[in-house]
Amino acid sequence: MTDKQLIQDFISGDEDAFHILVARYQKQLFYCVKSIVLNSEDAKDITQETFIRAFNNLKRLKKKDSFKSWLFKIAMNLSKDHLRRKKEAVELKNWIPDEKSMVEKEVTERDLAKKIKILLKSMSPRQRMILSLYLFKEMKPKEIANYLDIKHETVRTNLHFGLKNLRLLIKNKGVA
Amino acid sequence: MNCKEFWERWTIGEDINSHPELRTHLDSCHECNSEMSLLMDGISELKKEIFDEEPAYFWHEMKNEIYKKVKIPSKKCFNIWSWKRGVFLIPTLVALVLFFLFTMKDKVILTSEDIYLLAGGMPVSTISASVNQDFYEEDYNEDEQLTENAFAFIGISDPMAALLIETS
Repeated sequence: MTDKQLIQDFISGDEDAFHILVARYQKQLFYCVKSIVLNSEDAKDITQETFIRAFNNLKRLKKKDSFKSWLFKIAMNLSKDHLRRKKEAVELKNWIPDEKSMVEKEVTERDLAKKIKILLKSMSPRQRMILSLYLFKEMKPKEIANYLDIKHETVRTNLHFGLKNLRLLIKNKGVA
Repeated sequence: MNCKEFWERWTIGEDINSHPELRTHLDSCHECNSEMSLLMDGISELKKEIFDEEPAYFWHEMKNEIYKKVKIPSKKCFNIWSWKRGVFLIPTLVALVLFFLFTMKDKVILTSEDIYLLAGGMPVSTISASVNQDFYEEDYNEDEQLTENAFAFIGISDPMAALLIETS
């Protein structure tokens, strides 16, 4: 059964159709949000809120066949709001050890992952979203632009800045 | 292509596998290769953490929370009052009742005594009769014994014979 048919059933009063839509997109949506907010509990709350908003506005959705992109746009907006609210201002100097100690220390993949995570958290919500979708969801810049409803050029600029920082994190701090 | 150019193009999101010149440089430059490997290892590690499969109850809880907030019954919760379910439920119940009525009609109904007998016990009527008989026999024997004792006391051993003597 297609999304469009399910939405039509839901509008006709069949609440089971909504159950099917939740089951169909719950995991995809959750992991997409988690790759941005980098926290299971927050991702869970945002996913729930996304479905609640979708439920309340489903009758007003004009393009019934573009339900998925509409749903993910709601999730992206909620994630952006969440990141703005949280304002995880992480000062890089607090966690990046000096060059000497890094050279001496054996850097494990886990350490590196931790550092990338903190770097992402230090970025602006938009930049963080773009970089997360690029790195973890392996989306192309054009897809990200479409997904987040922003210009392709904006994605490229933000991606350039984000990846440059990521590279500097590894190269200039003695990791490489 | 030099290293600077490679990283410039990589940072604007150009796919290494879609651009052979990027791939060629990466394969030939040891420094860029090790840097990229390290970067990818870190990203893979983080990806593992992000896409780590959540337990089943996590999804179940999430769904229930959504349904609770939008005020629709959970899928697992069977809503007996839903008219759609009623359409199927009522004929099913009627059919079940009819089935039991017809199948039980010709069946022998067992009494508690039948069940007792089937379990290997004695019939209740026999038990009461034998108990009564024993009681009367015992009672009778006791009375007879007392009478005999009384006749013996007055010197008559057979009361019937004594009666015949007296009447004659």
